[in-house]
Amino acid sequence: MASTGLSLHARHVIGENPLTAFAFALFAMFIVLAVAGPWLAPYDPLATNAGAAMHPPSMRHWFGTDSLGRDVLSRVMAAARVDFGIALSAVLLSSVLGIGLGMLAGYYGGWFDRAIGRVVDTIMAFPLFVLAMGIVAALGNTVANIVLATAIINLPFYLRVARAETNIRRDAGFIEAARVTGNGTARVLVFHMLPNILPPAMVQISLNMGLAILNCAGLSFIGLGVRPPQPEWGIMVAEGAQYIVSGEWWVALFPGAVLMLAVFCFNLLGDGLRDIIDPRRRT
Amino acid sequence: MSGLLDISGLSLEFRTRGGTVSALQNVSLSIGKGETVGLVGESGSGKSVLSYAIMGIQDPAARITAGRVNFSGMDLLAMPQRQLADIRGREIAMIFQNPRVALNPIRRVGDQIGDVLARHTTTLARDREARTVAILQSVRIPDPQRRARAYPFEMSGGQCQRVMIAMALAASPSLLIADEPTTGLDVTTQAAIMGLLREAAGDRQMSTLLITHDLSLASERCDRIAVMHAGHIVETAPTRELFAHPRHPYTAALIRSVPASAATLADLDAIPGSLPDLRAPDLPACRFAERCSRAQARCREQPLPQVHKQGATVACHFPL
Amino acid sequence: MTHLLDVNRLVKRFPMRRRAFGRGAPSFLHAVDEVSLTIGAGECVGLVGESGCGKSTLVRVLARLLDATEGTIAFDGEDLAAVPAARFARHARRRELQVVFQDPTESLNPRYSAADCIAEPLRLLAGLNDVAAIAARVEEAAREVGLPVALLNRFPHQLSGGQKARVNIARAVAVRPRLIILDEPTAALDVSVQAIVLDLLADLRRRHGLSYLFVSHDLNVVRLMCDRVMVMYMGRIVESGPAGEVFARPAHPYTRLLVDALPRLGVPASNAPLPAGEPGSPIDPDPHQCRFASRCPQARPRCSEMSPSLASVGAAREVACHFPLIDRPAPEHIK
Repeated sequence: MASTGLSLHARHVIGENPLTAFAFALFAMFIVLAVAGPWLAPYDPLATNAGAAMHPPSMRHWFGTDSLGRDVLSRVMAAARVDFGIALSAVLLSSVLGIGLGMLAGYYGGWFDRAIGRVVDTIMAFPLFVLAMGIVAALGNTVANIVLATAIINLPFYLRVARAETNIRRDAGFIEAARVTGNGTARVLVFHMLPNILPPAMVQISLNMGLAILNCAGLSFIGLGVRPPQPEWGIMVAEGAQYIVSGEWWVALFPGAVLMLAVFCFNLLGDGLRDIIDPRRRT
Repeated sequence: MSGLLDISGLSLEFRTRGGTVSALQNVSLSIGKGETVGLVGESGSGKSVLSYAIMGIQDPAARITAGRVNFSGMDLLAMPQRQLADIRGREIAMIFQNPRVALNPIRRVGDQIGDVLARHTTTLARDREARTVAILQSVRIPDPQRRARAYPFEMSGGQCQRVMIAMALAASPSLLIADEPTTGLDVTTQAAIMGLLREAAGDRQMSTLLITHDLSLASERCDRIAVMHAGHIVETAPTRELFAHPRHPYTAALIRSVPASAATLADLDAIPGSLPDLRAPDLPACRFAERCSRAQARCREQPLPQVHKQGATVACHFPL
Repeated sequence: MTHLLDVNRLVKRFPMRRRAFGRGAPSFLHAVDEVSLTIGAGECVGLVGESGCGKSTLVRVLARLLDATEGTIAFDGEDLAAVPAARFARHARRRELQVVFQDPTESLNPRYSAADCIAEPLRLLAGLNDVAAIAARVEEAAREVGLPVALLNRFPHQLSGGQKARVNIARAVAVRPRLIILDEPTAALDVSVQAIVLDLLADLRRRHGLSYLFVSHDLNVVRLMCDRVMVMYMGRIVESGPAGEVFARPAHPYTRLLVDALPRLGVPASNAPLPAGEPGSPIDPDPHQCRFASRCPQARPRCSEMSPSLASVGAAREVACHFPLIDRPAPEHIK
C-alpha cells in the first residue's frame, strides 16, 4: 500500500532532526532494557542483602542500594519491562478499540456516534487518574486491572481523534472514488480511511505511552498498582521518598529520573513518527 | 503615461529554502481614472503577487528589489505602514476569490461593514446602521435590514461575495482590485456580480483592476488587458485590439486554448510546456522561450524590449 | 435499439429535519425530480446546470453511491437502482460504470502512489491477481493517458494538476468500462492543461467506444465535447437536444439565460440587466408551478398553474416549457 522509500525517508527524518534521532536512540535503549533487562542487570533485582542496605552510589552499585540491600540499578533496569509492558498493553488496547470504534462512529454517525459520544463524556467527566484509581480499587490491583484501567482512561483520546478525522474525510473525493473502484465498506474503512487517520493518531499513541507509564507509576506510588517486591519505577519512587529527608537521595532519584526520561522519550517520538508516516513530508 | 496607478519596473522576489523565487520582474502597468484594466494569466504567473505588492500586503518573505508604485502621486513603496494602512480600504480596496475566507465568520455581516465605515469614513456612529443597510441594498442583497444581522455562514456564496464587495466599496475607494472575484461562481451569478461592479465603478468614477485567469471574462468587462506570464507582463493592449491582433505569442496561444474561442475540439490548442520554475538561477531572458515556437537564441539571452505603440506594449523580440 | 443507459423517472428526495414538536407533515428536499435520460453506446451526453440544480446528486445516484428514492436505472437492460448502493461496489456491473470525479487532488488517496491508485480497480474489479500482470496493465494505462511511467511511483502531492487528472482518468479507463461519468473533469485545471485533457478524453472515447455522461457548468466545454446536452434546473431536466443546437438556439428561457450570461471572447458585455430573483427553494416545491417561473422573464399566468413536462420541439429536441423560445423544427444547422 504505502510503497517504497519508507526506510529511506525514515533515515532522512531521523538524520534531519537531532532531537528525533535522540528520541529514537533512547527508545531503542528502553526496548533493549524492556526485553533483556533482567539478564543485563548486574544483580538479581529481587535479591536482598541486609548487610548492604542503603549504600550510596559506588563502583559496585552504580545507583546505590535500597533499604533491603537490593541493587537500585538492577531494579531500575528490571522495572523497564514491567512499566513498558503495562503501558504498551494498555495503549495497544485503547488505541485499537478507540480508533476502531471512533472510525465507525465518524463514518456512520447516527445513534452509534451519539452512544460513543456519551461514553467519551462519561469517562471525561472524571479526573482521569482518579477514575483509574477507582477502577483498580474496585477490581483489585493486579497487572491486568492496571492495564484495563489505563486503557479505559485513554480511550477518549483515540475515540475523539478517530471520529473527528473520519468525519472530515467521510465525504472526501478519494473515499467516494474508493467505492467506485470496487471497495466495499469494510475495505474502504480499513484500506483507505484508516491509513489517513493513523498519522494524527500516531502522535497520540506516543504521547499516550508516556502518560500510561506515568499512570502506572502513579498508581503504584499510592499503592494501587504493582505489588512489592516487583520492581517498578513508581513503587521505587514511593519507597525511596521517605528517605529523601534523611539524605538518602539515590533510592528515589534514579527511578524517578529514568521515569522522566522515558516519558520525555515518548513525547519526542510522537513527532518523529508522524513525520515518517505522513507521505506529505516526503521530499 | 501617468494615471491613477502607475507601476514601473517592479521586481519582487521571495527568499525560500528552495532558492530565490523571482516572482515579478520589471513589471510596468498603469491604470487611469475610471478605467477597468484586466490582468490575465495562468495560475502561478504572479497576478496575485502583484496585487498584494500594490496593497503592501505581500508575504513577509517577499522583497521588492526594484521599481516604483505610484498612486495618485504618492509613492506607495516608500510609505510608512501606518499611512499605507489608511490608504488601504479607503483609497484602494480589494476583493478576493473566496469571500468566506475574507469575512470574519464570528461577526455579523452588518458589523463588519460598520467596521469599515468607522475606520475609513466620517460616518457618525448613529448613522452607521442606516448607512450599512443602504450599502447592502446597493449590492442587491434582499431584505437588507434583516441580513445585516446575519452571520456569513448563513448566507450563500453569491451573497457573501456581495457583502465583500459592499465592504470594499463602503469607503468609496478610487481603485478596486478584484482578485478572481467570480471564479467558482455560477455563470449567472458571475454576470450579476460583474454587473454590480460595473455599476459601482460607473457611479463613483472608480478604476478597477480585474485579475482573472478567465480570458473571456476579461474580454467582456475590461477596457484594457495586461497579459502576464511567469512574472512578466508580456503584452498590454486595448481589449478589442488584443483579441483582434494579439502581438505576443503567449497571448495568441492563450486565446487559442480557451474553449469559448474554439468552434470544434480540434480548434482547441493547449499551450505546450508549463510555467518555468522561478527558482532556477538561470532563467532565460524571455520566460516564455521554452514554450514558444518562434523562440531563437536572442530570446534566451537578451533582455526583453518593451515596445510601445499607441497605448499598447509588447515584450517580445519577435512579436506577431 | 436499447440504449446503454436508460434512466426512467429518477427521484431522489432527502428528508429534512423536522422542526421541534413535529409540526405538520415532514419536509423533503427534492434534489432530483423525475429525471429521465438515455445514453447510447459510444455517445457523449452533456449535463449542464448551476450549483444547486441537483447534478451532483444525480451523478451520485447514477454512479450508485447513493440510493434513488424512486425510478429505474437500466444499464444494458439491468436495473441498477434495484441494487443497494452499499452493495454495489462488489457487483458485476461496477466495472462497466466508472467515474472520474471533480477534483483530481481530492479524488486520490494521499497515501497511495499513482500506481497504487490505478492498480486497485484492476485487482478488485478486473480480478487480476498476478503482480506482474497488474504492473503491466498499470503501465499500459499510464501510457494511454500520456502519464510518464516514471511518475507512477509518485504520490499525489508530488504531481501537478494535469498529472493528477491523468491518474484519475487512467484509473477509470484501466478496467475497460463501458460508460464513464465525468463530473467536471477539467474544472480544477489550468486552461492550458484543459485542452490536453479534453483531447485525451475524446481520443479515449473513440478508441474504446466509450460512452460519457459529461457533467459540467462550462457550456463551452460541453459544446465542444458532447453530442447531446441536457440542461438541469432545480432537479428537473428542462431542455435536451444536440449540443450545438441547444446553445445556438435555446428553447428554454433558462438555457437562454445561461447562454446570455456567458462571456464571449472579444465581445463587450451588454448593458441589459439580468433577470432578478434567486432560484426557488428545492424543499417541498409546489408541484403545480413551473420551477423557473419566479425568475423567468416571460412567465405568464399559466406557468404558475401547471408544471410543464418535457415535450418534443423538433428534431431530437425536448423542452419543458409552456412557451418555448422555438416552436417549430429547426432548420439544418450550419456551423
